[in-house]
Amino acid sequence: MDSSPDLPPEDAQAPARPAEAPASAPVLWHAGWGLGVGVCAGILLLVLGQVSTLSVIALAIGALPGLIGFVWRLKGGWRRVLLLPWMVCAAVAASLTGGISGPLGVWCLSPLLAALPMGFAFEGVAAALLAVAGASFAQSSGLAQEPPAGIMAVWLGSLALASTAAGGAGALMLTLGRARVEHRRLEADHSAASAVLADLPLSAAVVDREGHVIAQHGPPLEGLPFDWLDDGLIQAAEPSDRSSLTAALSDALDHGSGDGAFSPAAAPARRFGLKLRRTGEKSLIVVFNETAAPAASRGAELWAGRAQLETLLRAHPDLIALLEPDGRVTPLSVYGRPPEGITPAGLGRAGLVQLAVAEDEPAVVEALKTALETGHAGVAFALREAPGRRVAASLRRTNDGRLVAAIREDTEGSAAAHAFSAREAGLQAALALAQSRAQAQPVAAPATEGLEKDLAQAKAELSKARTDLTEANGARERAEAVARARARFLANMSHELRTPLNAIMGFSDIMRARMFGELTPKYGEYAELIHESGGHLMDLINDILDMSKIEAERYDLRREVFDVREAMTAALRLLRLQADDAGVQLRGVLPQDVLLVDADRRAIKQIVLNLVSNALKFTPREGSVTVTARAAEDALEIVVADTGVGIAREDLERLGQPFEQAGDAQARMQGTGLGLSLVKAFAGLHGGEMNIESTLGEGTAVTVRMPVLAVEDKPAAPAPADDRGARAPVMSGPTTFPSMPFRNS
Amino acid sequence: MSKKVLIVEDNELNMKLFHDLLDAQGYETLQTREGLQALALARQHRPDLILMDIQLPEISGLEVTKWLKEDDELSHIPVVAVTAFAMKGDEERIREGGCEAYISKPISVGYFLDTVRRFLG
Repeated sequence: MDSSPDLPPEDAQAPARPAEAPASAPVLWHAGWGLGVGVCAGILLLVLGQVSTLSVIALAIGALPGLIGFVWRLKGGWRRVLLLPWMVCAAVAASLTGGISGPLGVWCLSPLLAALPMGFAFEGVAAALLAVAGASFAQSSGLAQEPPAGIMAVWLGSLALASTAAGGAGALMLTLGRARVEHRRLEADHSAASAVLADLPLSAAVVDREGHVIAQHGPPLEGLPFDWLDDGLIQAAEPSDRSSLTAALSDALDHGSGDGAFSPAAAPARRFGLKLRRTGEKSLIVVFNETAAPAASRGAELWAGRAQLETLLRAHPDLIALLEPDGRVTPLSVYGRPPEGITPAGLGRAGLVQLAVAEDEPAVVEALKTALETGHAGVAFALREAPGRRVAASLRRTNDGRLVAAIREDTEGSAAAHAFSAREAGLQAALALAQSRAQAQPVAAPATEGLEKDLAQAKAELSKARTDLTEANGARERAEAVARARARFLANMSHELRTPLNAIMGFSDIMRARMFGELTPKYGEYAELIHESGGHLMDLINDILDMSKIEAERYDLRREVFDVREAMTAALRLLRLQADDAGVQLRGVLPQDVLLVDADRRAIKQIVLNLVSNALKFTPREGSVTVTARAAEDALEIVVADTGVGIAREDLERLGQPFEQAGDAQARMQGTGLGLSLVKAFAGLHGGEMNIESTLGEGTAVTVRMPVLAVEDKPAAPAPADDRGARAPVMSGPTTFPSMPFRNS
Repeated sequence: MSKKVLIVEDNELNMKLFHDLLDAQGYETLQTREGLQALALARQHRPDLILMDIQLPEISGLEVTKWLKEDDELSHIPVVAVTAFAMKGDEERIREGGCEAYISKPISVGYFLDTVRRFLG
């Protein structure tokens, strides 16, 4: 008989065709039917030995639809066609054996059994009823053959019942199997769908009007783990976002759908977009914007970039805001550090114009207009809510016709304005007091007038101070440009003067060295004079350059720690020839120990050179110039004393100013007049000073004191003030410190 | 065989001065007032020393020095800058530019010849 067919493996693997029954189950059932009936008929023949022809034909016809179904493998809905042979064969087989009440009458149910594994229960019932009707009609109309008699009827009846029962059982099992497969398929679909949902880079939640979470789904949002279930969506957002978020929820509930955005309070640098859709009377489904989810790498990149931008904006030292063309603040667009006197909320409420005091409002409006027209503008104004505080706002037009404002404290203006407004407030108070008194005593009216006048004046001063400030900024820029041009000019001038001077001094140097043969004494002298004048010109150029740089405050000291004795010895070596020519004794009084200073070596040399050559100029033959260097308390002290003509009291006042010289015209011709002013300037650059003491006819002593002693290695005891040549070595040679003063004739 | 000195100098008088000085010492001189030609002359004649003015009409002497020092065949030739750039910082800038020595204008004949001799032995 028909055994219960196992499900072919491909059935389990074919969930994609849910409408179809397992492909080969009906075929197997048909084969089982045909085979079962055939085998039973064979056994019957063997057992009974003799069977009526009609019965054999009836059995064959009963088995026929099974064979048809096995051979003719229809697919899908076409299988219904198979019900036709089933119906006909069942009715014919029954009719050949006596009709519906005959032994094979039960086979009229076979169309239903065949239909069940194919999934056509309804059609099966119809076919079975038609078969029953056919067999009944045949019997009642007398078309049916006589039913077999005796043992034959019993056997045939048994066979029909057994085959119907077995077929029914098989059909039932196949149907159950089909349902099981269907169930498995549904389960698989569900779990696949769940997996897909879980993997979706979407987070969603169902919330009520107040943002309380009813249900949630999806991966937790970064910065907003789903532990906001208790507090709700609104509380999880940044305080500044809460009102807009509440509005978005209400709006979506009222209109069916909407959008929103917020930053979580726990992660203010992130921002989530929301899609809202009403799901019920009081609930919304909230889908958090895909770009907010970290799954898609492009989205994550964008998100990271945006987070970085937000961090930057939030940490910006200025207050940054996006403004509408009329100065109102675009919601959720205020970032950065607010200057004192402004809160982001206050700015959001009032807008830029309303921040300013009444008298500054027109300036702000004007700046907005300028920025919209030209692309940028700047304005500084006093704050209405914080008296005495001023802010400066830079405005830039954006591509969409709005404005970006950067607002910072206007420190320069604030200090001045603060002082003024303090005074203004004081005057206002006095005015109020005076007015109240004046009301009581009309006599005091003139006093009130005075105060009002003061107040008006103070206000005028205040506005003038503001104008001055703007002008000062412009002037500073112009001055810097001038200074740059001046430095460039000095460098060029220096180069252009030195180039021809090189030929002058070079050729005269060749001549006085008699490199190409003897000169007459006169020509030799002239060559000497040309070279000397060139040298003087060189000094002059250097002095002018130094002075210009100092005046332009562009002379940068190149400080280093060195033994001041070396620098002074080098300077004195250069002056030796001049001293010899002047017939003046030049003495250097230097400490025995190393005297370290932290100073500009060239400046120190220049100080000594200028002071000594000055002294030599004004000291007659047989006189002396003494240079002393020592540590006096915490300063380096250089004294150049001469036994010269001295300086008149009235001249002392002028000395040290550029181009001022003392003495007669003859003496003046020898110098640039810059010597002393340079010494004074160099001393000043080192934080020191220069003093001149002089008695007419007796001599002059110039003292330069500079706090430049290097901290380490200070001499134990400073040299006594009046020890010229007494214990310190006296310099004469270029590199040594012999004990004898040198003298040239 | 006498030593060769390439003089790169755009001022005619200064060129004559340097030429006469070196000539008197028995050195052979090559002269140019132009940076690019200096490079060509250096390649062609392989001088023993180059005196380089820094402010030149087309290309700065510092630039020429850089090219010289980047050229494997010429980098061994000492370059002495002779320049009227004597402002603060000029010497450092020039030494950093690859010049072996620096003489500021106006020159002292003695120091000039000493320096030249130092490189020509």
